[in-house]
Amino acid sequence: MANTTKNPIISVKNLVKLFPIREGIIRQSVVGNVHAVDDITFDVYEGETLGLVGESGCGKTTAGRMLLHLLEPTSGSVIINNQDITRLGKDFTWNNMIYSVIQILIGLAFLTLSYLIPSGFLAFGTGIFLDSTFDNGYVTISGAFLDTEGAGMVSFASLTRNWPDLSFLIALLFIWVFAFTLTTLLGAGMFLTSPIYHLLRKRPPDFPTTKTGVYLGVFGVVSEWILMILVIIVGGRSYFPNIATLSFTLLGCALLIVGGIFWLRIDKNEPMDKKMRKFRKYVQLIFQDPYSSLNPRMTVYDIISEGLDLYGLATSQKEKEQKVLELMDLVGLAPFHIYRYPHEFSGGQRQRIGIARALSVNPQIIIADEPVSALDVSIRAQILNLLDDLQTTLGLTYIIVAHDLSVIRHVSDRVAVMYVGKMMEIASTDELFKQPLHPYTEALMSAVPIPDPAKKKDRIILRGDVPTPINPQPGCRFKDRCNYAKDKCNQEPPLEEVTPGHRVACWFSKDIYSVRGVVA
Amino acid sequence: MTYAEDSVLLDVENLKTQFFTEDGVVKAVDNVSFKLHRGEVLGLVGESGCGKTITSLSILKLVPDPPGKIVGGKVFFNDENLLDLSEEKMRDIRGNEIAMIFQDPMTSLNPVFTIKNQLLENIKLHQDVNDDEALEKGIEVMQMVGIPEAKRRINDYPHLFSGGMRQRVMIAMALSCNPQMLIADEPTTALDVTIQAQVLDLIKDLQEDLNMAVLYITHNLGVIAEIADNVAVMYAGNIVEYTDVHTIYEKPDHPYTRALLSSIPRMDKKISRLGVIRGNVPNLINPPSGCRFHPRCPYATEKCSTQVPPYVKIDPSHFSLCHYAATL
Repeated sequence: MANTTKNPIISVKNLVKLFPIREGIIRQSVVGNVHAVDDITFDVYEGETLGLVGESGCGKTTAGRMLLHLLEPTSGSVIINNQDITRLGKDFTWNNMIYSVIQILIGLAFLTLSYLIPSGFLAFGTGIFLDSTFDNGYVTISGAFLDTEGAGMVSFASLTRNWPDLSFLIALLFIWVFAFTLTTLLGAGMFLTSPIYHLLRKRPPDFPTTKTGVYLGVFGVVSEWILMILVIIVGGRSYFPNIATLSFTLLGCALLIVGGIFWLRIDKNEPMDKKMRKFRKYVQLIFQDPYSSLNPRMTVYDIISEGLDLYGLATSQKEKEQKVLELMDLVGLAPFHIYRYPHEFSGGQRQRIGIARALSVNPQIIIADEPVSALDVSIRAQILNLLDDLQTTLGLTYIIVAHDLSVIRHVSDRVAVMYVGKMMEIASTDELFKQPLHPYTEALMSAVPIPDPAKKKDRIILRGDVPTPINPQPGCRFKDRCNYAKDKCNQEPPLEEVTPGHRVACWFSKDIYSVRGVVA
Repeated sequence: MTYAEDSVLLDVENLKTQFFTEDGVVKAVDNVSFKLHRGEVLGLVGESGCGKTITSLSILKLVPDPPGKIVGGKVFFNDENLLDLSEEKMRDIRGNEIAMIFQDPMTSLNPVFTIKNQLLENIKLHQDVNDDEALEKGIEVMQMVGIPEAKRRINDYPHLFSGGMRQRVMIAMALSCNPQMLIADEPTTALDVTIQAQVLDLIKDLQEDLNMAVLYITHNLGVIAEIADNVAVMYAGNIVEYTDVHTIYEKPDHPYTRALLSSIPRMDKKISRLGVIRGNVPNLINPPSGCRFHPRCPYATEKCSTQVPPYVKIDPSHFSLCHYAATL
């Protein structure tokens, strides 16, 4: 039960998430926003279950994702354990840098390898590879070293930038053309000066004899240097040439690292921070679809122990196995299931694996996004009972996102009703189901078919469809479908406390029964 | 509810449909029998994989072959065994006398044709009408299912309609030839609850107005309570219980029906703990011997694992596939 004397474990204030809609090809402009979550405020208390309910597109999943910082909020704050998680993972971090430098070094290792094997053909195929993808207004450029004959590619860095303007595209084109021309020329030069070529021509392998070869070689050295500097300047990216000295490799290595640092200083998109990791240990997610949320190539042991490894929660192999077995027992899986793969399990059992994975890092809070909607009726009961038991034994706090009011009523202590990005009503479960004060909540409840033919009732059939969250009209979001709407509804109603703990966003919530003209 | 003997529209007798796969023969529908009367709504309820959809596809002879095959039984529609009919004659029945609506209105409509194109195709195929008459009929059914501005919207493409509206279009299509019988396979499962309420209301109203027989397939026991007159509960390819809608909720007899009803969370009342059916739905390649439910049944005895239970008549319109029917 909601206990007002307790401090909230999660405190969400004025949380907003807008997804911009862009138009145009070269110069994109924002023409509108999808108001997925629009200014919602609520608290979650320790040990309770908050049900987040609404129809599809109401923003309940987006809200759940923002609590985990899987989506970055447009504005507002999410305070978990007295820490504003929306501020996490935004600054430059060493983690990021080390990660990228390792990638660069792997690239270099390949490049060096291609030197040590004296073949012109090899050099020919080794070169820089620049690629870019366009997705949703963001441009990603990735650089990679192509190894011999394209047998593999080692990515050395990638960057996502919201720079879809002309100058950027021209720069990209320039880099492309330049890089490929030079690699080709260089490759030819390398071939002509390479030992294999000379062996083939029965000449001494140690000295370049063709004049063209020498010219090309010299041209290659100069142009590679230009290219390298250019790439560092234009894209913060480094490129290291195929010139036949190892010392050059080392020099280039230093330059690559400098370039990498420069690169990372401007790339702040990766929210992978130590604080973020620590936070994720406290908050875990249970997914809707047990078929796509488990990696089919990992055994149950691998899946459950991944979190233990990541957070160093097991010191030895034996302890790890012990912990995995304990978790499996907790969620009702048999010990002999440990080395099986997900495809060997039914939907309900898979959902149990997902739950064990979430529990493996001892979280305080679990966000479950439609945890039972993909399951069959009889399996649903098993999982709901399991979640209930786990809450009792482990003292977990749940946020359960669901569209099914029957499920929400069964599991929640408090319920928040959302509609088109807005919070409509929030109250304790008993009170909400006894006396819904918002017309939308009332209609939603009335729409749910009750498995009891004796209780056939006059349903409130709402007109029309859920409105689009793109640039919504001002005022109450529900006004066009509401049976009681009045002129005042063109102004946006605030979420006000009507009775203690029961907040409603409706102008007429206090005198709703007289407005409706019915006696409850 | 009782019906006159001559009002039987569809009579399914011992229907058996099997799938011949590499792993073995899947006995998806096994000895299913039921009757559907004119103006009756029969709810076919069960979990996924219990054979409810395959039953309906077998009635229309739409089971994918191979691997599926109807291996036995009879399906009388207006005293004519559909299983004996040629494919050509079946085509006259499908969409004309028996119409079907499917679960997912998003994928059941072809996105590259207008609604007009798809709706009129069915009308022109089955009725002797010219283009103008067909269009008139099309607009009429669209108005009947509550699509505003039907005259204009008939020229739209499916993506311009919302989910609920698309399902209305599907219903309009199904009703365009005044079928005697409608098979509705989870028509509201993909819809939001407020839209589900609209569509259920519509199906119920149309059924009453047109005195259609409806075979309503769903896994949602709430929807069944709203819409059905009689209910057949399926489990692992069998109908385990058949009775009217009031009895199934008040006095369910089969252990599976009871367990299923106790396992659903309720919106109208607080339940402290849900009932649980242990284990999982069986694999229908090697279904359990005897009663197919016995490994999960709390009342199972030795007899249940060896002998196939008979249909026990509890009262004239209540059957239960259990050795201990009416005595539990």
